[in-house]
Amino acid sequence: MTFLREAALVAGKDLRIERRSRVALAQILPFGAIVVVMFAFALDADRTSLPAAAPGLFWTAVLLAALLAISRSFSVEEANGARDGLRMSGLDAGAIFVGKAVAIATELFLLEVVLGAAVIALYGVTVRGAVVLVIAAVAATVGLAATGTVYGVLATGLRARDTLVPLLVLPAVTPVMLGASQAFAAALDGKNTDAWPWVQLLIAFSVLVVAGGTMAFGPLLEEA
Amino acid sequence: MPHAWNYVGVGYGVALVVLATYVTWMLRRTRRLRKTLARDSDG
Amino acid sequence: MTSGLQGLRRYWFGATVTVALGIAALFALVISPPDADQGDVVRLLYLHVPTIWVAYLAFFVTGVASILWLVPRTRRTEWDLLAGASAEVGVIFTGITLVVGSVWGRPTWGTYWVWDARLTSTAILFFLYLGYLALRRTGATADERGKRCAIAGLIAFADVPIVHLSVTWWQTLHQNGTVFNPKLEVTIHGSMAFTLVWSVAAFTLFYVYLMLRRLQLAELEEGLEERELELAIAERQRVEEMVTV
Repeated sequence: MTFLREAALVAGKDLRIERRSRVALAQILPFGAIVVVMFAFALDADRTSLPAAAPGLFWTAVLLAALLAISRSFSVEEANGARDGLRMSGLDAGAIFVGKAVAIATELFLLEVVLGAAVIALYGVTVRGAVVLVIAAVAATVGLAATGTVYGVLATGLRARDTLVPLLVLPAVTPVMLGASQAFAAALDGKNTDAWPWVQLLIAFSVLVVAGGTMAFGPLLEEA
Repeated sequence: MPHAWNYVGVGYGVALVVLATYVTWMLRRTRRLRKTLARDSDG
Repeated sequence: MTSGLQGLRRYWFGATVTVALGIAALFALVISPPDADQGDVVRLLYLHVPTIWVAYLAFFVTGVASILWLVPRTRRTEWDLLAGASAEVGVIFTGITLVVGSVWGRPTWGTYWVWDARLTSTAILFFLYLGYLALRRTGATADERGKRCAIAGLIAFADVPIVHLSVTWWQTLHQNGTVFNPKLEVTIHGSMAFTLVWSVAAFTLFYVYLMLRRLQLAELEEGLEERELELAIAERQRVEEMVTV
């Protein structure tokens, strides 16, 4: 089987598990929505500060939801010794990495659409530069999903995995947070050209993490 | 600059306390482990 | 057990380090003059610069040790222990750098903190390796720990060049390097330059001392874990024998 075929197989498996269990839909999405609402409470919702802070708040909500999605992605492997099954399936480790990252990214995209709508409605944001927003979001999401997948497998099987993965992932994705928030802020301000350097940062980061993750996944998946 | 030495004092003080604590902890723990391992290998 | 000769060498090395640091403090706090602009507050820099330098060095050593562990031909537990010990020292020195820098910033910049590229990336560096240290405590077997930590350590090291180059890449409140700037022009002179260079050298020796001690401790802890594992296995075997008999 080709690399892409194998990756699609793994991604399909994870997405099918989600479709049957609906954990992302019933738990992660509402969590993200509550975070968006909570920010409004915390910032003493007034009409001027929320739209200004909206890019950063949106991406923080996405990031927190992403941590849950990453945790979920790897707990499905740990159930019933699926991790060993995955390893012994003979699938290429890099393909498993890409597959799992794609599944997480897909869930995050759908999450971002819903949370984005919530932010627009609840924070009073006027949408401009939609194309830039979409490109930035795609690049950022790939970066988040790929980084999360690397650290997810790195911590898999460890007792403290659920508390460890957030601590490991958050510092590592600061370029994504910074780039995505700044790109969104510039685009929503109508300054698309200002957004471009940040989009470049997001793309560069994503490429790096995907390349690195594909190489590192092999040794990480091996039983030690 | 007013109170310059206050700042210098705080800065050097923090560094000194942190490093002294670290070194002390390290030496004490080393001694304790040496004792434990020596004891177990005799016992 | 430390041999008499090794213990003697260690004692003299420790004494040398203490003297070197003492001289550094003497120059930093007494002999060197106050700065024309900053006054005596500049003396904090004779602490701040060496500590971040040691942090860079420490994280570099962690990276190299991680690579040596990952390559099957050179893999030895000692590399993993070295990586962990060096990361711990690195985190401590990064923390000190942030605090001393912040204390220095208040009288000179008027603020304890600013979110420019240098300070932000340094704070990230602190958290990256803090996570690495947390990861070290959860590994089941030495092999598992070695592998996960090696990869986490190498990922974290990517931030070190970012921290260092941040003042050239971006507009930062933090000033550019007085020695290691892109033109490699030294911008301070005289006794201030000497104090800075001596301090960096003294702290480097201190780092070596800390590493020797910390590595020794790590090996003892590894020995303790092995001992406990052996005891647990022996106990289990004894219980099984009693059950079958």
